[in-house]
Amino acid sequence: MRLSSFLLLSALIVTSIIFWLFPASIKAVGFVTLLWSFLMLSSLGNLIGILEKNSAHFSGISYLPSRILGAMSHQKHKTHKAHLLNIFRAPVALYLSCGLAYIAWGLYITLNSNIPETLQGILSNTQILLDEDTMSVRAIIDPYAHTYIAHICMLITTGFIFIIGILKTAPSENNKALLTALAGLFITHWTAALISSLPIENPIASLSTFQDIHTGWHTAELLASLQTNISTSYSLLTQRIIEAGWVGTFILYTGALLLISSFLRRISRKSTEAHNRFYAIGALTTLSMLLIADIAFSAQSAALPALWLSGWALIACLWQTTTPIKQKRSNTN
Amino acid sequence: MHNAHKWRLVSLYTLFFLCVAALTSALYLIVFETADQRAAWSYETGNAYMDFLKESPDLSLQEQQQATHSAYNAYRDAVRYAPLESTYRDALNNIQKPEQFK
Repeated sequence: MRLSSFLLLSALIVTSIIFWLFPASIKAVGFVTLLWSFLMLSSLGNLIGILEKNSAHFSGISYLPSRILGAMSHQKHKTHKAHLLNIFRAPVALYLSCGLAYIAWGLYITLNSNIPETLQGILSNTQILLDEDTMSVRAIIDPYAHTYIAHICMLITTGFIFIIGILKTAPSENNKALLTALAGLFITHWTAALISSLPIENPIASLSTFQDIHTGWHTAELLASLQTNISTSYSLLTQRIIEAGWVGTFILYTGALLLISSFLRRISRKSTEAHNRFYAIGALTTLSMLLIADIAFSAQSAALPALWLSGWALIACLWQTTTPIKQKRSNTN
Repeated sequence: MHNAHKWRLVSLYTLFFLCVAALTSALYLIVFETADQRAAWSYETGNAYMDFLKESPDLSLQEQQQATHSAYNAYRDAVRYAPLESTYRDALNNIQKPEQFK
């Protein structure tokens, strides 16, 4: 296993341990985000160098000062690592754009939530007379600021893991050790989630019993505790539809759909080698298992964050492995 | 500059700003207390004032009012940070409000 692959795997194991030791802890999300942000920053540094060298190689023009290029000279003997530029390909860019669009939409819905009115009613019913400041929207939103930020951090971390997964995987090389380890980690998490969280009784029926109320992040739990037509046991998909509405959920899942179409294209392509076709089928299976976890497992399960992150790391590695290598162009000057 | 190269630079800048945003958010989550923790701390403070009142029968009326007022404020903060926690709401409901002092 290459050193960079080992780094990716180690970081994922550390992430899993943090989530196992501190389930449902907001500080655990903070530490995991910190870890992956630092890894992403270091990967960005490498990526800038590779981008620069490839640009200079293909066009003969350099956009970096010679001083910085000189500092990079120790890498000159290496290949241009053009395969790392796969993160700029359309499916990845669209997948990440969908994630960012979901964050924007979720924030909009959350900040325009009708939950404060609901809470106002509840508090009035308990005959607690609080002052105007306490009853203001800001006072209701503020207590959950940590939860909103943790939610955004999880989404950004998923994106980072996807990018780092691509960057740390060599294309069409022997990635068997890395892929086996990642698949093992993913299956372990999936099994743990299956055992630890009782699957909700009738997930399809539970999807159709509620209205599209899109009340903002962290409100499904709130509404369930207030018993406003929402069962206390709901899936992650149900939670997303409650909180971000059908539109938000569609935006989020569009990213996955784009990747599915990308894998399907690779499977159907005649030039795809047999082992890559096998990996692409593996990626589709992983995506299906993630979807099953979204629909059938209880959203309150503590095993879901680690399952989610390890699943996307595996998909990223499979995507990079199955990406066909582009032939090097000659100098285009 | 080549269009593809421009696009890549924009993506890199976006990723960089996302990194900075994620780092800041992570530090916020790690360093600052959550609302639940602040609510629990306020509730404990309110309880401490109430215990002090019970254990100090020699307090003057003004001192009793001040301690009750402080306990009320602490319980109110607890409800403010955790509006749905019934323990905090009950504590607030069971305490004399400042405007009820004569």
